[in-house]
Amino acid sequence: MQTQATPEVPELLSRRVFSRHAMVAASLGLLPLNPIAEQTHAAHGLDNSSVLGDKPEDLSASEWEEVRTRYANVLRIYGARLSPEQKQRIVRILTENEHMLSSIRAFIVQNGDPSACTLRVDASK
Amino acid sequence: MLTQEIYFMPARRLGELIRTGQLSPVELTQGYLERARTIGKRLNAFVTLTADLALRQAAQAEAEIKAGNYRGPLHGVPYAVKDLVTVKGYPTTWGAVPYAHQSFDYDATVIERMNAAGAVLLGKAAMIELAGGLGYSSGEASLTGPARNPWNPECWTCGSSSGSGAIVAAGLAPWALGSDTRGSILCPSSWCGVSGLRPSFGRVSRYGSMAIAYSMDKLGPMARTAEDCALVLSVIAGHDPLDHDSIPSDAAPFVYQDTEPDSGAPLRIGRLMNVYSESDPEAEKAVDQACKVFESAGATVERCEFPDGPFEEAAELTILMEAASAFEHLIQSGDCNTLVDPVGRVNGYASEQFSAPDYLHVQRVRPMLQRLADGMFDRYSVLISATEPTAAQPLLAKDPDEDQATKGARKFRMDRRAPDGVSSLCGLPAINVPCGFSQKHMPFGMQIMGRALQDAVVLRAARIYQSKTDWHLQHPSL
Repeated sequence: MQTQATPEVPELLSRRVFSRHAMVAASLGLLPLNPIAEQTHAAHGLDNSSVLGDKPEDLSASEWEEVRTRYANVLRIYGARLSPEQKQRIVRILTENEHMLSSIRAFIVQNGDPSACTLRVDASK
Repeated sequence: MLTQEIYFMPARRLGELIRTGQLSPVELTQGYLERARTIGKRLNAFVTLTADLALRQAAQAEAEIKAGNYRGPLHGVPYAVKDLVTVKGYPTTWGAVPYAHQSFDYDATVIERMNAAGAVLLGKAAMIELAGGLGYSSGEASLTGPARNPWNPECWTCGSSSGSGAIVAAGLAPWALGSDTRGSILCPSSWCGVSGLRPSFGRVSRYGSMAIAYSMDKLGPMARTAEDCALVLSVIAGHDPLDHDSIPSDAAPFVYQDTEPDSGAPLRIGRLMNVYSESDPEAEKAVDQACKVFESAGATVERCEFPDGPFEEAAELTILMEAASAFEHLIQSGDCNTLVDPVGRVNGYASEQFSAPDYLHVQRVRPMLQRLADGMFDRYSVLISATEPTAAQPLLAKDPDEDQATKGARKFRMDRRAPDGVSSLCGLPAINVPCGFSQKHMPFGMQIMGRALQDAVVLRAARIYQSKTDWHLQHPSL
């Protein structure tokens, strides 16, 4: 069996290296927290010492803020249905989702980049 | 009385025996139904047996064949279908408590095609609730309880086509229809030691089947052999205007003859080396042994690496986001709280928080990932790897991530190039073929992945491998 090195990444992708986005993500982490989100958290009695816990090391401040905001929104809509264990589970899920979004956002997309959501026009009956 | 070996025969062979009058489809159906009521019950393999329908179809097939009206190689051959596919007049539960009494007044397109082929439907196969559409954390997540692995009932079958895997492995039907959104045919095929094909996206109509993720759902056969998978695909493939994503009739139609082992040029095979961060060395060794088999059959094999990219993340996010829409009513009504699995009960609430730009960003990255994956097939006919990093795991094993998460020590980790994630996200055809056993005698599987719409190339590679090995013919003692 022969050994073949990894094929080169196509030119189209070479400009979308992760390091470039890492810089963007790092700078986003320096942005101030969203004051509107802070008010929402306060309205729902959320703080880092409750269900949310501490910010995971591998999320930026802005990413953690997004988790907090989304958790507050879940509570606003569905909070009455949820047990304490379910609330904890939702925080874990939102945190994991944020990690996955972070990986995807590392790909910078341009205005002209197509979407996999396309309308296929069908002239047949 | 039929011998046990009959029940483990490939569909192709059973069809030949039926065509030549050496085997009665009625007797065969009665035998399979009896096994389903006994062995199948122990394994939680079926949700519903369609015994009256099966016996009626078998009697009709027998009469037609005797009268010289032979429909084709599946005429009179029994099968099972995952319980997310609609069969007129029978429950279609989606494996989930909220839909336990659901039924529809029409047949799914795949059922219509099997009816036209004269096949005999034995029953609806058990499955993970909603095919895992709202997430799940263990094999317990099913309306009918955990499906048990025929090789060791203390082990799980994997999901979400859990019943389909158990049925074929236990000789309760020669083949079963499964569905695959992200690995739900490939994983149970691997853990149950059967051949399972996840066709190219759009190859098989999903009309009449439960949706999880509209841009990722596929239906496909799980069978004794790759040849049987090709045979079934030749019947169920083809354009259907009722499925928005069905491949147009003039786009690379599937041709069964192209799957014949000697039908094309020697294969160029890439053996993927970097898809799992951790895997059982014995599973990798089994794939390495398979490379030697391919080389002895005239193929060239090279070790290669898959390019980096967030394939797994994109696949997971697409499913979460599309499932939040597919199950919107279940989530908003609160009926999701009646699901068995604690993850499934709340996951939809979190998924509803994704934004439209989140979804569109994933879908704009997706074509780039598709091009990355497609580039591999400029060099290779197919790519091979272990289908799963391990053999089947104990049914009651806890998800280690759950424990770590509870203790707050969880670090995010994901095999972003996991081959079932890659092929699922990009709509590529892939098949699992059995390729060995673990020290505890549980099956290992090898995934063979091909370029989009080249289902025949994937099947041809699998058939070449199975013409030189007999892993796929071994079955558990039951």
